[in-house]
Amino acid sequence: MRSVLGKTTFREIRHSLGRYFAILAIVALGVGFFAGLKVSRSAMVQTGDDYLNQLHFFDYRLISTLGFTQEDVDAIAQGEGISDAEGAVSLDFLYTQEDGTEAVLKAHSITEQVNQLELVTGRMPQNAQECVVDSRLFGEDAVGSVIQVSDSNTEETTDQFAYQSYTITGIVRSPYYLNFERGNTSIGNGTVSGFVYLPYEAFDLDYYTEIFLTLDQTGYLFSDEYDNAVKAMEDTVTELCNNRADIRYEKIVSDATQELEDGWAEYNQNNEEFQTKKKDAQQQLEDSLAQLEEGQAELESQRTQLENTESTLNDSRQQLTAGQEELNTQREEFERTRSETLAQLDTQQQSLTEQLNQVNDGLAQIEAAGPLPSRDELVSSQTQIEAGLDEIERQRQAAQQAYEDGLAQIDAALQPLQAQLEEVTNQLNQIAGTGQTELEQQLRQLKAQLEQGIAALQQQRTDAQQSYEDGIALLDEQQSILEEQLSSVQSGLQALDQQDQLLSAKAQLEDGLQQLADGRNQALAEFASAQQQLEGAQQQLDDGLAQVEDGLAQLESGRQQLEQAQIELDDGWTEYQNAKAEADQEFADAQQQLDSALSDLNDAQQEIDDLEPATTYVLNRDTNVGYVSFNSDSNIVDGIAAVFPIFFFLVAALVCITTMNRMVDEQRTQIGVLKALGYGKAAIMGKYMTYSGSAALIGCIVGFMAGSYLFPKVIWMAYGIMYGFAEIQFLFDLPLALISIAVSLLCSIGATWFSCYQELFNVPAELIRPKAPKSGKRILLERIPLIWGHMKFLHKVSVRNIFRYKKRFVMMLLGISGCTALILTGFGIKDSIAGIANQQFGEIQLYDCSVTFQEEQSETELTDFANQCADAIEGYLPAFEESVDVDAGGVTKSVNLVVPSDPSQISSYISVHNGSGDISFPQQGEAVINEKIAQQLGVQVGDTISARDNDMRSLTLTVSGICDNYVYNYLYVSPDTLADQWGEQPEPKTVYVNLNESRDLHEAAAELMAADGVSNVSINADTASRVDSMMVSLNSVIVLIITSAGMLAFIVLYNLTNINITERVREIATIKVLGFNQKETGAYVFRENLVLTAIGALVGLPLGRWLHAFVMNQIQIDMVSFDIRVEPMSYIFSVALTFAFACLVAVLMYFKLDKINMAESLKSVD
Amino acid sequence: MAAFVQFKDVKKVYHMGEVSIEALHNVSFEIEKGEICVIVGASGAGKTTILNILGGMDTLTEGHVVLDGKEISNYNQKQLTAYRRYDIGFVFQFYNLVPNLTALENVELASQICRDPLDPMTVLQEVGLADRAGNFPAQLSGGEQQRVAIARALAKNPKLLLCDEPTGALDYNTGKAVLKLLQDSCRRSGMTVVIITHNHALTAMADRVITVKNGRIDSMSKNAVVTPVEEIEW
Repeated sequence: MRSVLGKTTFREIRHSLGRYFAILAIVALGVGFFAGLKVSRSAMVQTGDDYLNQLHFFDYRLISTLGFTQEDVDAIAQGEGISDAEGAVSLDFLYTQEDGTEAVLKAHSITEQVNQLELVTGRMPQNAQECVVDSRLFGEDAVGSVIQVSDSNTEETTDQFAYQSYTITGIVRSPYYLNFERGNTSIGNGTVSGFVYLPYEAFDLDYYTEIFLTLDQTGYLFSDEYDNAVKAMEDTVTELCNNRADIRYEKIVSDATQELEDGWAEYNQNNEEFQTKKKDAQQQLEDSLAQLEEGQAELESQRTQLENTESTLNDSRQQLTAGQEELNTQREEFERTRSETLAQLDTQQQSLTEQLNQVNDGLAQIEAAGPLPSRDELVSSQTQIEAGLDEIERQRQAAQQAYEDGLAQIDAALQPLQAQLEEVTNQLNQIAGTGQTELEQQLRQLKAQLEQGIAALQQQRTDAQQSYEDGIALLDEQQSILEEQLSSVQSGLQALDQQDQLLSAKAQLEDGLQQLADGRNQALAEFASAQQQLEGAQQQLDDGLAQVEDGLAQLESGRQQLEQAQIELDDGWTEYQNAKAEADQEFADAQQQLDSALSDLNDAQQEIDDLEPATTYVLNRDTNVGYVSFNSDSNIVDGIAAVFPIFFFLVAALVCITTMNRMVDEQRTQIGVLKALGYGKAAIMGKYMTYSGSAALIGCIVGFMAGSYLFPKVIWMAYGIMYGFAEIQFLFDLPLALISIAVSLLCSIGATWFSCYQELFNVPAELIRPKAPKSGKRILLERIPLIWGHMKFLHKVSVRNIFRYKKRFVMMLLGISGCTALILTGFGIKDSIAGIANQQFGEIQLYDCSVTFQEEQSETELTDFANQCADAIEGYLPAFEESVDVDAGGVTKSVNLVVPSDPSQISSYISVHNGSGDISFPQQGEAVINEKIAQQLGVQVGDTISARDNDMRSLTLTVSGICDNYVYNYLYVSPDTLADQWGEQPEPKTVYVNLNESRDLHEAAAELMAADGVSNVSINADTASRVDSMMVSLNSVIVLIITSAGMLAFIVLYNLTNINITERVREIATIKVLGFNQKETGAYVFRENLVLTAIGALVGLPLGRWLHAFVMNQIQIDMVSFDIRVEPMSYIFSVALTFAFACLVAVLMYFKLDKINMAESLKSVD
Repeated sequence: MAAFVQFKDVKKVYHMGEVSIEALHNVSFEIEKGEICVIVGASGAGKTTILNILGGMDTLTEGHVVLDGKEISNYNQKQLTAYRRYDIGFVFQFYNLVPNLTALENVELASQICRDPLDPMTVLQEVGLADRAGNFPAQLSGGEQQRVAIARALAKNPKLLLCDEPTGALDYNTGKAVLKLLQDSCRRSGMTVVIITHNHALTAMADRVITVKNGRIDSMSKNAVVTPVEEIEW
């Protein structure tokens, strides 16, 4: 019984292979996709786990700012739970590439126990001058060539290498660098281009910079077990590390302090010595100076004396000259006086002689005139006369006296009379006219009496006067006689006097002559003596002059001596000055040396004081970029796996349901017959469940196997460009397989059960009867005559058909929209990724290339550079770039700090913008960061972030804008901020250059490279193509998605069309009979499909957009942020591809359609 | 003048795997224009094969088929389609109406594609279903459905109307009514009609009766007197 049922099942399968395969394929596809994507992550992690275990990838990496010693390493290795610990050194340096340009390599010391290397080719180094290098940077032919440490490295760097060149003995892969990223650096162009592993002896260091250690207890890669195991050890390791760091700190401090003390002792000794020597030398100099000054003073005094002498001599000479002149005058005077005197004497003698003669003559005359009365007679006569004269005078006076007395008596009488008269006259005048005649009469009488009395008195007076004048006249006559007599007496006296006079004159003259002769003699004697005096004076003058001349001569020689002395003294001064300068110089030098020694010592002290206890970092694998990227990248696959398979399973379930539904429908009669024959429900259902179940099982197994193999392989291939450290390991994930089988069986059998359930509850009679054909229905559209009325008749049919079968409609829509969505997602991923390079270098980093210099550039150097390359450069903008760690809310990310020297020019080189337009360049204290980093840090505009560079200089910044960026992460800051917060504005080492457009890009770049001091020129166009080629790796994933989508669409469409056709065979046969030609028949059937495809595609586009955004969000690659966008062409392609698949199905179905026998139309409905 | 329909030595062999079945063996007959011809025979006698060949739905292995002077036995698929389209009307045993088209639309489905169609509504009126024009097949009775099918065939204004057991799925009265319709229509339009049936009773309504047996023509006769359908009993 069972076998017969089995047979029918088997035959059923054989006769409806298309349907069977549809179920099989859709299940295979769903399971393949699900299992493939799910297992890809596991396979990748397994591969990574094996690889990392095999090479003993570190669990902890310890860093101390003071480094570690071998004792530290040994001590840490002893720690509990620690399997191995090994000290290592890493160091960035510039090396010269074959084309002469420079690139940065990271040198690591080879570790034996931890982070072992995978040798790709060649051999490991055997001595300190050999190295093995990065397989990503060097090809196999590099073995045997030499890594040259560039001269451009700082001394600090070169000093850390024991040699300057190392021979490459092998090419290796390092688990430390799981992916392609090599990290950033503060030197060169800021990017590490590869690594090189050297024996520890190749470094000239006595300490380790880091310690790698592995733990005893860990777990599977990326598992919670691993995380917990590592976390559990964190405290232990941190404590160990800190202890060792403290010990090292103390050791360093004590060593340094000892050294410093020695230094101080030496300094003090030297200083003392110096002070002593200095004192002596100064004493000597001071003595010399005193001597010199003394000499100078003496010289000066001598000079003064000399000058005084000279002046005296000159005065003397002048006096002598004046004396000579005076002498000459005197001499002349003398001569003149002598002659004058002599002449005068002669004149006097002559006049005396003449006078004498005259006197003699006078005497002679007198003698001639007679004898002369005697003098006594004359004198007595004269006395008598004079007595007579005196008598007369006395008489006269008496007369006068008498007269005057008489007059006075008269006048005295007269006066009362006159007064009475006057009174009477007045009384008369008063009475006149008054009529007092009597009185007047009396008065008149009185008056007349008075006038008589007066007249008598006046007469008496005139008589007195007459008698007086007569007496006088007599007296005058007597007087005149007497005066005559007197005059003759006096003339006699006069003659006597004259004679006496002449006699005395004669004696006088004779005496004068005698005196004159004496005077002449005396004068002559005086002249002689004066002459003699003059001669003597002349002699004296001459002597004085001679003496002066002598003195002057002596003076001249003295002066010469002085000059000589001055020269000698000057020499002495010069000598002294030189000696002093020399001494000063020596002192200054010595002082400077001492000062610098002192400052060194202070610095050293400061350094010791400043030396903080070592900052230690206990880092786990999460700080290793490759490891983290590998984790997140493998998670991407899981992310995709989360969405797609559900979708596929959903479609698979729907396909199963419709297919089985159709099958059950078709076989209802058979079911009825079987039921009528007495078969149980389970047996009957078993048939269909076997049918669908077997299809699902086979599909599941095929899909699981294919998926488990294909997906990891393709994805690993895609990631190979980023990772590719080992061959992918294929996993058979049993739980996953069981889940897949369970789910697919559930889908298929569940769908079958769902389809059969209803039918099986019908009674056989019902089942045997043909199912009433589904009634036609008017659709909503028909109620809109405007549209319906204008539709072609056959189109109406199609439209009505579309809405007739709701289930099929939904499924078709789901399948096709899913297909479109998947294809769109595929293309969208491509667009988003392909756009990165174009956007980054076409819209953001607008400059043509960036030039990195070996050293910081001053403005002059930059100008020189611009002048050197004037032909190639159109414009340039210097900028300070370095890698900084940005902190916000406990998250730390490494970012490129960009500080343009002149922010106002930035727009020609870097466009800082976001979706809503350009962002103004940050002001002081502000920063603009790119969106991805802002997201990772959880930072918004207005938040504060802090940034710290390798030299531990830190910045505190307010986010003023968040900009678009696609490759790497950037932090834009203005130079003012640095100047403000670091106290100085670092000089730029990088220059962004816009090249002359007429020049070939690479030629122009080569010109820049040749300029002085240029270390590297990186052309954006090259970077863009490099990024592009890196992103090509994802193309295979995209192809995978598109292929899967196509397969999905194909299966869905094929299955549905198949069902559609088989369901409508009679109808199709009928219209064929009606004379529809092939084309018309095809159109009649496929028009529906095309309309559904169109609707499905339209629905699929927004769905695809969403799916794309979802998938892109799952794809998180550090350093790269994707612009979630879909190009218009991708929409077109997606729709076109969907239609292409629909058409492919139509073509395949066309033949099937063609094969439909018209005789079918004649058959009865079954 | 040659007959309207000529079957000359028609042979049809079906190949099913290694087995060859000779469905028709040197079948020859003629039908005049305007005649109602009934082809009668038992199940499996080959009458459907004749119908298929005559209707251009199937090709023949040997022999010649001529309709209105055109040899259709030489036609390729394309020519056959055109032939079906323009020259043949078909009435099926199970009506074969398109279920989601109304009665009128089903008629239109046919009239759409031919050169000189009759007005579908007129035809529907002629078959007495003007008032059911907007109904879907599921809302019509069997007889009504068959009448729609006849209307669909007539609307094409074909040269030849082929009916495959037109009453096979109908009850007696309805069957009769349908046959009456067919007979009346033919007489009115002078259309040549071929009816295939296993019911010998129907031979009475025919101008010409062809009996098929085991892939051969058993007999061919012309009725001198054509009985109206109403009078036929079975």
